[in-house]
Amino acid sequence: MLRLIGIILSQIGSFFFNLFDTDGFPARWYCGSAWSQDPSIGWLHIVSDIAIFCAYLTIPLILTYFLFRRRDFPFPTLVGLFALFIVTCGIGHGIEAIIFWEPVYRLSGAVKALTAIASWVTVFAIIPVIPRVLNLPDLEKLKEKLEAEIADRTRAEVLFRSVFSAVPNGLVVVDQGGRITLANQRMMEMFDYHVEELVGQPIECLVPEEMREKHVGLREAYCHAPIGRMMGERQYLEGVKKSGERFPIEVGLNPAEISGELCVIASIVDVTERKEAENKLLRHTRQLEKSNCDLDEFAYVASHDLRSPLQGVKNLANWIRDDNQDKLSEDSQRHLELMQQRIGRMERLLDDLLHYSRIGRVEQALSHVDVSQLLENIIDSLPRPDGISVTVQPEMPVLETPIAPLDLALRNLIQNAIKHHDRAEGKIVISVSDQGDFFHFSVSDDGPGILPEFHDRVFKMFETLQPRDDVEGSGMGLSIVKKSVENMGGRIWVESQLGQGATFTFSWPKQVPREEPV
Amino acid sequence: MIPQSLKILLVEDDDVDAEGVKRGFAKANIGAPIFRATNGFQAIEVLNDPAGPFADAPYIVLLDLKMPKMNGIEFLEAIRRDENLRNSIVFVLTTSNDSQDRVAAYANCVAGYITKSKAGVEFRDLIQMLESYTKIVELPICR
Repeated sequence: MLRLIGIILSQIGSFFFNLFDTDGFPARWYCGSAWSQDPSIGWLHIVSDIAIFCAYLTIPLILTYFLFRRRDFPFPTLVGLFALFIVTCGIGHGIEAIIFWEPVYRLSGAVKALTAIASWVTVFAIIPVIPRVLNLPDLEKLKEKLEAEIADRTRAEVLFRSVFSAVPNGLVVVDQGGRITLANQRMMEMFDYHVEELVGQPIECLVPEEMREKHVGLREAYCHAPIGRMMGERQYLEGVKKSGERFPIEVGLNPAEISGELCVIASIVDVTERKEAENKLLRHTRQLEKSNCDLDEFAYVASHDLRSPLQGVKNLANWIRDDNQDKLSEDSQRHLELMQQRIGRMERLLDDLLHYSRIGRVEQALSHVDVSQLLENIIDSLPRPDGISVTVQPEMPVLETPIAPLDLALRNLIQNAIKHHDRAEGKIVISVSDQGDFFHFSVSDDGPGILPEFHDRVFKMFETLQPRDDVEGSGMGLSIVKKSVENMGGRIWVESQLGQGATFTFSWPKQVPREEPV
Repeated sequence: MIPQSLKILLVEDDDVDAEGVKRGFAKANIGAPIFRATNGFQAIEVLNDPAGPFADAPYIVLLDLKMPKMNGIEFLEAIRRDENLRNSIVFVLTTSNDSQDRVAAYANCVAGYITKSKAGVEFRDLIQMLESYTKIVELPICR
């Protein structure tokens, strides 16, 4: 065995030792007489082999150059193997040409063996690469994709430009150093600048002078904690125009990373008009508060300061009557009676006025109200002639509501129906209907009725349709009811024809509105 | 019966109201004399007058609150600071049922806070109460 290996090695050794030995081989020109009879065939081989040799040496040079320039090219090993294979091929062809004179068949065989190995290695290297090569994007498709991408980007760019210039807010992009890199048209209009005057300037040129230094600090602090938020929330911010004129603004801040650098996009709104409206509203609110306050004071004056002299007059009238029982003429006694009646009327008026002014200004607690129970209590407490009947229809609701204003509304309407009835016999009916968010409560009578042209007037303050001497009343009952009902978000109306009775209906919310009464 | 020796000082600025109290007392046949002051200053002057009716005699003050110059609460504060008058028995008799007034009056040691609307027709309930009060309560003599 060892001998066999020894023989093979010595054979290979002698092969390479005699690689350039030409002994025993004739040069190709002398291999058969045909070569020398027609040397043009031989020259065809020689010239072609040399041309191939030259070309095959040039290709790898180009490939190497290519690989050197395009380091990103995939499969560089494969290209290297290919280059090697071509080089060996080229050398093989070169030797083929030499063999016409120098029969170096051993060298030629060795080079061919080398070529065979290189080509097979290339073959085995290519096979696993094929799927990857197949996956390589088709150039045409790549181009299409690229074009689509460019179109997308162009569209996005156009969209961005239009949005940027179309938004009603001023938009300005500021880099980390505080310089304006981009500003929209609205921004120019707002601050009265030209684009070229603003871009490249520090953003502080738009900030009031006394705030500039502080703004630099705030801006730097923002860059450490960049989140979308409003600038200086709840603070009064001002912008400065080119002319130095100041105006109130609101500023929204948004961080954005553009080409790896942190920028701030500021959105600016001119709130001059809003501030003016707010101030106007504030002024009106103050006026309203003041007039409410005045009304409070008036209510107190009415309840106390007006009442006490009235009480004095009442007492004096009583004393005159008591002290002069026998001495007064009949006329004087009648006059005293009228005087006392008027005093009573004035007292009621003052009470009602106070009552009216208090509606809605005293917050009412909600209670669990069983309306049929409430009506029973009201009807029991109201004096009425025997001939007048008051009926409550069934299905009265139970609801959570302030009891006082509902009591007041129902009581006044029933009292009115009794008071204004023109006959000894009469029927008053109280009914309810469910109307979604509201209940509609109605009080109907078969009394004298009201002419349609008076329907609005009955709800006005101090309006009565009958002389006070016939039916006592301050003329405020229905206005008190109206104010109570409207204060709860409801409405009141009357349906009536002369001589056909009247039906007063008011709507009452099932859910009491949450906001504070006005 | 309210004893004759008891003096009553009515501090009230309104003539008609004062007249009303006087009529009520007259109607109830109360013999005790009623004196009147129209504001706090006058009341203190009268009470402090050594030759006046209140020297060395038991008395009760009926005090209105709303008065010019020195109102009822100011009067109360003044007499509680006054060495001679600090023990005076004072009933507030007013139309006001304001809780602030009530608190301020009791803070100055009034014997009672009475609103006129609860004093009865022609002050009958008030007079009845005063009769019982003077019958069983030992009154201080100031000064």
